[in-house]
Amino acid sequence: MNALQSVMKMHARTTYWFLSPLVIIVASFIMSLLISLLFHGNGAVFYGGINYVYVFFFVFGIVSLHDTFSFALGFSVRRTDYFLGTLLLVVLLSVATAILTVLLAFVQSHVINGGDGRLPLFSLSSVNNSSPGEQLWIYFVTQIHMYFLGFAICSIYQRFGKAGIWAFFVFAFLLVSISIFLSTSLHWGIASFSWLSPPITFEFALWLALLSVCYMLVSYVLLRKATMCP
Amino acid sequence: MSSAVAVERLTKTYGDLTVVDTISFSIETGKIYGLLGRNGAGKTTILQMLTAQIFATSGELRVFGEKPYENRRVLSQICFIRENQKYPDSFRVKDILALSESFFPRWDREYARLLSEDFQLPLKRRMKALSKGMLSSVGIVVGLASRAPLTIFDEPYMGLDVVGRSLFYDRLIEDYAEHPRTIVLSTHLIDEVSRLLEHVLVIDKGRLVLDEDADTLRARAFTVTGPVSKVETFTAGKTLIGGEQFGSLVSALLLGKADADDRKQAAALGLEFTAVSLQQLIVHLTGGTAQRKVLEIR
Repeated sequence: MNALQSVMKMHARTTYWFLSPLVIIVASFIMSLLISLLFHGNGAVFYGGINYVYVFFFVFGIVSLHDTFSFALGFSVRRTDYFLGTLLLVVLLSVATAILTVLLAFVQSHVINGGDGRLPLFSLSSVNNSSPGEQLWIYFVTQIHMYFLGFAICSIYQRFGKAGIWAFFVFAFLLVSISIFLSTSLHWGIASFSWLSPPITFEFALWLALLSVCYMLVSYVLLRKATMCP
Repeated sequence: MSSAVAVERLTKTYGDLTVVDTISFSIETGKIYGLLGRNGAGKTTILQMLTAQIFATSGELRVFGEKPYENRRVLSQICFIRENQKYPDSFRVKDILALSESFFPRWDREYARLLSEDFQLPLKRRMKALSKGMLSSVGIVVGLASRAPLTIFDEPYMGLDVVGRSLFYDRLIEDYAEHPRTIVLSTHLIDEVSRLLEHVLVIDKGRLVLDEDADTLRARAFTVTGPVSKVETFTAGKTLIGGEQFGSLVSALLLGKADADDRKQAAALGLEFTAVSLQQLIVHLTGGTAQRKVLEIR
C-alpha cells in the first residue's frame, strides 16, 4: 500500500477526530433550527456554532500529532510520509467540511429563513455576501489555518520537548506584550484589539493561506528532526 | 553472507552523558542475534538509531547497505517492537493489526489471526485498557506477523508470564525456521533467550564488550560439579571464574575450552561435566560482581 495512504488510514482510524467536524457542523445546523423556532420573528440572531469547528481544527492539530507521530515512527513510517499523509487527509477533511458548511448555509438562508438572513448561523458575518466559491475558499482556508497553527505548536514540542514549548510561549507572550506596549505608546491603534477579529474576506483568506503555508513549512522542518522521545 | 546492519564508531551523547560510546559491529542477514546487557546499558538507544527514530551524535550506520533516515526502502524492511511503544488512545487491538497490514509489506494476516488466538488478544479492547502483558503480546504478534527482513524485539515480553514468554520463544523459532530473516532480540533476560541465539552482542555502559558467535562463546568456559575435595583437585592450575556450593557439593565455573584430558580427569574424579550457561559467562565477561569473585573452595 502506498505510504501516504497508510498514514491517512492511520488517522482515519481515530474516528473521533475524523468525523468530528462534520458532526459539529450538523449539530450546529440543528441547534440553529431550534433557536430559529424559539426566537421566531425576533430579528437576526447570531448563534456562532460554526466557530466550534475552528476551535476543533486547532485543538486537533495539536492532539492528532501528539497522538500519532511516535506511533507512526515506531511502525517504520518516514517523517516525510507522515507529514504528507496528514496534510492530504486534513485537506480532504477541510474540503468536505467546507462543502457541507456552504450547503447547509444555503439551505438555512434560502430554504428555512426564506432568504431574509434572520439567522445567519453558518456564516461568518463578513462571508454572507461572498459567492459560494469564495465562501468555500474562506471556510477551507480558515480550517486549514487553524489545524496547522495547532500542528506547528505541537511540532515545537515534538522537536524540542517541554523546554521548547515553554520557550515558545514565553517568547510569544513577550512579543505580544511588547507589541501592545509599543502600539499604546506610539498610538498605532493595535491596543484596541480590533485586529484580533478582522472581517474574514476572500482577500483576508489569502493571507491566512500564506500563513498556513508558513506553519506547514515550519512543522515539516521541525518534524524532520523530531525524535520519538521529546 | 551479506550484512543487514553495519555500524562504524557509532556514538550517542546527551550533553555530557555518553550513552553509546564509539561502537562498531555488523549483523549478518538470516541469523538470530542477541543484543544483551543490563538495563540502561544503551541497547534501546542503539536500536533507535538503527531505525532512525533518534539521531547518532557521530559514526556511520547502514541498514541493508543504505542510511535508514527517511529511507522508505530501508524502513519498510524493518519492524521494531519496543517495550514502551506508544499507541493512540482511541486505537483498539484490531486497529493495530489492520494498520500493521498497511505498514509492513510482508504482513501475513492469517498468521496474525492465529497468533492473536494463541495469545488470547481481546481484539475489540482499546490499547490503553490493556495490561502490560497484553500490550507485550500485541507487540509480539505484530513483530512476528510482519515477517520484516529485519525484525527487532526490544524487551518484548515485559509483563508476560512464563507461559506467554515460552509461547513467544516457540512461535519465534518455528516461524524463523519457515521464514528465515534477521532477528535481533534485545534483552537482559539472557538465560531465557540463550537457546535461540546464534550470535551475541553484549553492551555494557554504552560500549560493545562482546561480539561473538553463540557456540564459540559457549565453548569458552565449562562447569564441573562434584564433592568439594575432588573439584578442588580438578581446578588446581585452572582459571576459576565462578561457582556455587550446594551442601557437600560444589559447582565450579572454569574459563577455557575443555579438552579430552580434562574430560578424562573429570570422569576419573567422578565429576559431572556440563556446558556453561550463556548468562553465567556473560556476567563474568562483563565484570558482574556476583560472579566475578573467584570461588574459594574449602
